[in-house]
Amino acid sequence: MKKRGLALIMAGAVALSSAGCQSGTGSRETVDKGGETKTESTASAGEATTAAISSEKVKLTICSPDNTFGLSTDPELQQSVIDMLKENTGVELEAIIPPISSYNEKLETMMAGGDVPDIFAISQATTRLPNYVAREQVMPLDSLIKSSVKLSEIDQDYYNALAIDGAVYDIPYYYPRVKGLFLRKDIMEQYGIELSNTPTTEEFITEMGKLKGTGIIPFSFPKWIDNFQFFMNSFGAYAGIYKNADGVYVDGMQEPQMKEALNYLKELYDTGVMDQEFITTENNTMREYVYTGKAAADIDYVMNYSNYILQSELAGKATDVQPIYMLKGPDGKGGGLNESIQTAWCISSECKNPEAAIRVIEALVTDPEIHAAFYNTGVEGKHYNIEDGIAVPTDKAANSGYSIKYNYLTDSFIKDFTTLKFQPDEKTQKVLRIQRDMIEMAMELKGDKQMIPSGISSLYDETSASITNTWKEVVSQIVLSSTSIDEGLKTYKNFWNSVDGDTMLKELNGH
Amino acid sequence: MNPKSRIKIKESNSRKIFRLFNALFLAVVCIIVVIPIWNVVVTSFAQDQDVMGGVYLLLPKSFTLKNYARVMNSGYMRGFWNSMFVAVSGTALAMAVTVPMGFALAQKKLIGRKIIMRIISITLVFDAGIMPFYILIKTLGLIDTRLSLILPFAVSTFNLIIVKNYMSSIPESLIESAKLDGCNDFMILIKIVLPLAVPILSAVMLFYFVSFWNRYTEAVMFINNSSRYTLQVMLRALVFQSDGSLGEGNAVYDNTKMAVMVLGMLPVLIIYPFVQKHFVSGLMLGGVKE
Repeated sequence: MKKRGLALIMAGAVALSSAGCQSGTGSRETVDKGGETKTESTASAGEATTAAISSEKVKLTICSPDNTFGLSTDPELQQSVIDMLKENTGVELEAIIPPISSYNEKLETMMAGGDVPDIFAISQATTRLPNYVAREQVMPLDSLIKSSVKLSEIDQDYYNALAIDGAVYDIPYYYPRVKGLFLRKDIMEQYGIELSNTPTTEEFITEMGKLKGTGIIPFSFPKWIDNFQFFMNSFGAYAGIYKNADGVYVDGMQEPQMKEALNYLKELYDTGVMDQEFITTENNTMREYVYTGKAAADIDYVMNYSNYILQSELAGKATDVQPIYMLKGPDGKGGGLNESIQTAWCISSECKNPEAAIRVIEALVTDPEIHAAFYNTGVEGKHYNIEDGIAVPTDKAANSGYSIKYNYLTDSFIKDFTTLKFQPDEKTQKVLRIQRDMIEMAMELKGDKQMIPSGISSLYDETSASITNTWKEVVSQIVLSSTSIDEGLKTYKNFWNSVDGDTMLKELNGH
Repeated sequence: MNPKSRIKIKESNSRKIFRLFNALFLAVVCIIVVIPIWNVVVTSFAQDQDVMGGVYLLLPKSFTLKNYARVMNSGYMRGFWNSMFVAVSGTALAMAVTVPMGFALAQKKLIGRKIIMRIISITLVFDAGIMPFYILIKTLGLIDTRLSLILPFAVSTFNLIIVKNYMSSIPESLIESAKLDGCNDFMILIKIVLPLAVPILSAVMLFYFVSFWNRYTEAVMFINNSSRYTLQVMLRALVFQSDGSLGEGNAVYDNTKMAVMVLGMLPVLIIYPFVQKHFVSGLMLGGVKE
């Protein structure tokens, strides 16, 4: 009996191993000169047909956070967008969709571990892209862009915004993002606040000061210190290292105009115009304060105008909001908070099929149907159904928090979305027209944004993150009155000396 | 002794005052712990408009089950079941490994026992960080598998030490008697040691379950396919959904977030009462140093 059992096990093992051999030798993948992956038959002539059919099949990994793939965190719904993308590009895709809150950590871990996705979205591109280029993890895309008619139509300036040493390593999919201030018009009218779209810094403090003691937060602000740059622009100050008008790299924290900017920020806080609890306020909470009328104003992307109209209505506090594109400082300087192009697509330098990768990116960036599905609406029948020409979320999608967004109509490089089966209602279309005008105005009045390429100064490459963290810490301490301006700047100067900042500037300036 | 025959000891005034302050202090601590949980529960039953604008609800303004209905019919349930799978199978595996290990290490005649314990204890102090961990998991071929969330955590040094200490306290004479009756080591573990170790096993099981249930970083780093994400990953995604720098997500209101949080707390809240009676005694006994 024991012998029979043993024989049975051995027979099973032999059968399994032979099956394994068959699957292992039946085909092999090669990459031809054109970059196309071919599946070649190595078994028999009878399998040649199968190989020919699968010769066009290419499997690439694509990595993008969970606020893409149809704006739903439901895996089934995400899969429907992946399927749509596969169907339209003919490229087999394996999607990696990390939560947006951990996206950068996940991507960095994968890249450091040698698992660079073939196609991936980057955020904070001005900071991260130079590192990826220095580590040779991304591919130059100039020739691939030239080979694509649709991608070539995008204004070269948007590619150049993140170009490094004249080479393009990313493909943007939105216009540069600019932040301005939004003010609730109902509160402005009720309390007699009179401000233009480009008031002076003094006018802003004086007018918003009218709300003190009313129980309304005059100006809600998020905990993200980078947003202070909006006010620094009014004084010609720039937090971080930048190239000044003479073409020389300097440290913005040590320039004289920074002191004026910090004085103004401190005044905003000390006079109670800025939310006293801003240091713990999330972007979401800040927005909700304005939607609900708890706050009169906040700072946000100009492209979010429509959200204020729709969300304040949902909150039962409907109002229009007025944008402030810039605050004019004492010398008439100023500008919107220019975040430049911070999100874009890259292709891994080890991608075995760049042609297929660019095909996917081209579809995501330039195809109206795929762009809308990927970044906003999802797939018909899965995320939404069309009723009388209007898209209505399915129950399954709505349960995961999904709602129809139309921002792609104003943000993307695609000019014409009329081919889509559904359109926003009249009211939304009107709001979006206003939003587009606002975006154009914000683009004209945007402030400075600079990117320092990696590889010029090793000192800078090593310490740039610490410099950013330190100025943020010092500025927040100054605004919160934990330290005086002089003491704060002295602390910063000590840090600067500790990282040999002057040598770094010399390196950057090529001395 | 008959309880009625006990001598009643009169408490001094200072003792009474101490007890009063003690009770007050503990009441304050309880309130501090309970208030956030209460807020989560109340908010999870509130209507959308009642939670907008960073409102901190302590008294219900409205009552609706809509948020729970939403969550039950959403993709979050997949995360819930993924978490349940990882937590249940992980706990089972961890117990299956930790208990025999603890039993073996409690045997004084085990050769090299102290050295083995010292080597194991090193992991309490040193942590290589996420990168070496990622490379290890990748080398083992476990990336994008649920096993990557179970296997590396099959033994917790802390739990192992507690189990080992508890088992060391079991009288050797009991084990010797069992041996005389013909039991081998495995039989001794099953028939003698385990029934005596129920308190510590309950406590350690709860520790393991909570640790598997709450695992977040590894789930994000090691899992690529979002259909395998655990509830904690989805919950964090939900909480931070529209706060990212890569464009705008959905505006999910706090009531829905809190409903998912309640769902996330539920398994531990359900399990705890069943092991509560063993919890303190188990820890006390397991915590005694040899």
